[in-house]
Amino acid sequence: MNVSPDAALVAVHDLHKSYGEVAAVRGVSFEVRHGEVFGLLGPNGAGKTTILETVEGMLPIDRGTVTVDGVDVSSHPERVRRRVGISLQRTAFFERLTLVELLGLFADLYGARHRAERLLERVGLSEQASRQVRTLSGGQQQRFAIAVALVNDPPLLFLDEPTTGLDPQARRSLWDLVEYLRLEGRSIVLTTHYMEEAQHLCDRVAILDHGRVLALDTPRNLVERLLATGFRKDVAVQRADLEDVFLDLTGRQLREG
Amino acid sequence: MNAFRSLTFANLKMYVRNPIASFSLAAALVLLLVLLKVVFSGQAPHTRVAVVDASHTAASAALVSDLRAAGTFDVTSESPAAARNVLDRGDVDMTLAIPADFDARDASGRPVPVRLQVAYRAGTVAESSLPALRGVVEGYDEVVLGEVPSVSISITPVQARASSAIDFLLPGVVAFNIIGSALMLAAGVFANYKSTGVLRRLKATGISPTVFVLSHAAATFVLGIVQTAAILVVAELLYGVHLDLVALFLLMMLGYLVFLALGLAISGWIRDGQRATAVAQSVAFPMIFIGLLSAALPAGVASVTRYLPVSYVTDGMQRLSAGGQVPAVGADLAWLLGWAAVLLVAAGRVFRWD
Repeated sequence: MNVSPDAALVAVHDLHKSYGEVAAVRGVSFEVRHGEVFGLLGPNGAGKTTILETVEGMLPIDRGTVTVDGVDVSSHPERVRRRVGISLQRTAFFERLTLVELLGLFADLYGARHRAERLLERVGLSEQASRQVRTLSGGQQQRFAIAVALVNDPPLLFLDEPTTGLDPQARRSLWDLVEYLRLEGRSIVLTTHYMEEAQHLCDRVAILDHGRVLALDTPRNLVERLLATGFRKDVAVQRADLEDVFLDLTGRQLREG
Repeated sequence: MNAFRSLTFANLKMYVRNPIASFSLAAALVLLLVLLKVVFSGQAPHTRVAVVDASHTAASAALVSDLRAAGTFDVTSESPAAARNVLDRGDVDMTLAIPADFDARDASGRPVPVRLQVAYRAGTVAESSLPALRGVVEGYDEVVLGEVPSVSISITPVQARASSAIDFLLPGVVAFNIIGSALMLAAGVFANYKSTGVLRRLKATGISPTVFVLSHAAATFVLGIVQTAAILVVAELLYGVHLDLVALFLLMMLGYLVFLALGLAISGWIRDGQRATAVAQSVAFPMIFIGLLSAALPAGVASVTRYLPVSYVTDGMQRLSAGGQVPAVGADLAWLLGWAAVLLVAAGRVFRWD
């Protein structure tokens, strides 16, 4: 892919998508730049997953244009899917194959080099290499899904709610992984409904509701813009919250199942 | 090509690591063959034949003796009028009329061609023993009368050896196994992959559906060869069945392709996994029934079911059991190829990753 720091790697323009009579996405536009972590935020049903899957080429587009590194997604969805890394919201793999075997299989499906051990090491699953996915914990399964998404060494990753349902340690571990992938120079588009996660990980976020973009900027700019309107929290600012207490008591180390 | 090979091996690994799902049906069918041998000693129901011998020669006596020796027929001698009566009453399943000029010679001493008249009760065991009758007559013709064929009968020309239970059962057993592992397993597995999201994850790699389907077909076929080989080894050991392997391979390959495509079409057409499995079962069981009882179906029903793919599998297997080779099953293979083409196109049209 072309690497130009400020160029748009993903360009979405006036995207529309409906399921029957229900309009899930209504005229969404945004760009994702090289090397940034871009977050799609919103409550359940806001259209986050639909937008992500149309950009990935997993769902057909009703109206509008989406390009990924200059490739039109509507015209070449398979081409786009082969060049990006995708971790779906609900990921399932073949049963009765080990992690190493699955990574080898997916490498062949992408026509990529086999490097299962390295990928497992990167996501912290080296010790589970000969286990099957169903025996992994929720956090381990999410990390394995990301390992599979990295099989074709993609410069752009799509992560759909990667930390939903994970305990605090597993979530922090996944955050570390996302930061590491960003340091490698990869661009990442993720969806989440955890605001602290978006604030921690994302360079820019688009806040969505009812299939529309309500705001799009860096988390800091969005906060400052809100404060500029005179908004003030009624509660006193805490220097720690319950999650900090939880992590202090139970430790930050990831619990392996 | 890597994707196809890798997916095929992955499917085979999963089959081998799940032996209960993969091999229980074949094991049950093998057990069925063993039980049949133990309980019934491999004997088929006998066909009761009333012979009307107008010739009363040593040659006609030799033919009747061959008929008795075949082991499939209970032979009695009757007058023409009595034979018709016992056939009408159902006391016998078949009558065989040997004409007066049987074994007659012309001026140069050569046998005069004659035609045996066979009448049988449709829908009885007699129908399925016609090939055996034909075999006895051909054997008599070659051995007794020499190289010049002179005796003919007006029934389906199938070369047959002495008939036994395995001739009726084995084609149905093989068809049962093909339907079980190709149609029902495919529909269930595809539906499961769809409902759990495995197919969506594969879709995300951008691979073609054709590669996915053909790799699954290849793995199922390899599994089917192992299963069928086990069944045939038992059939060989217990019943002495020898089949032409090339013809068997072609018949099985097309059979698997047809029923896999049918399973795929069902799982593509019906998105819900449990419903797809139920529909596959409701399609499979009547066909298994037809396959197992093909020899005993009433003529009216058979005239319809003979166009179903299972009938070409069982018909082909019957021809192979009777010693046939590739040319003998050519029509069955052609029909199966036609069915495979139609069902693959239909499956391709309704296939959905999610």
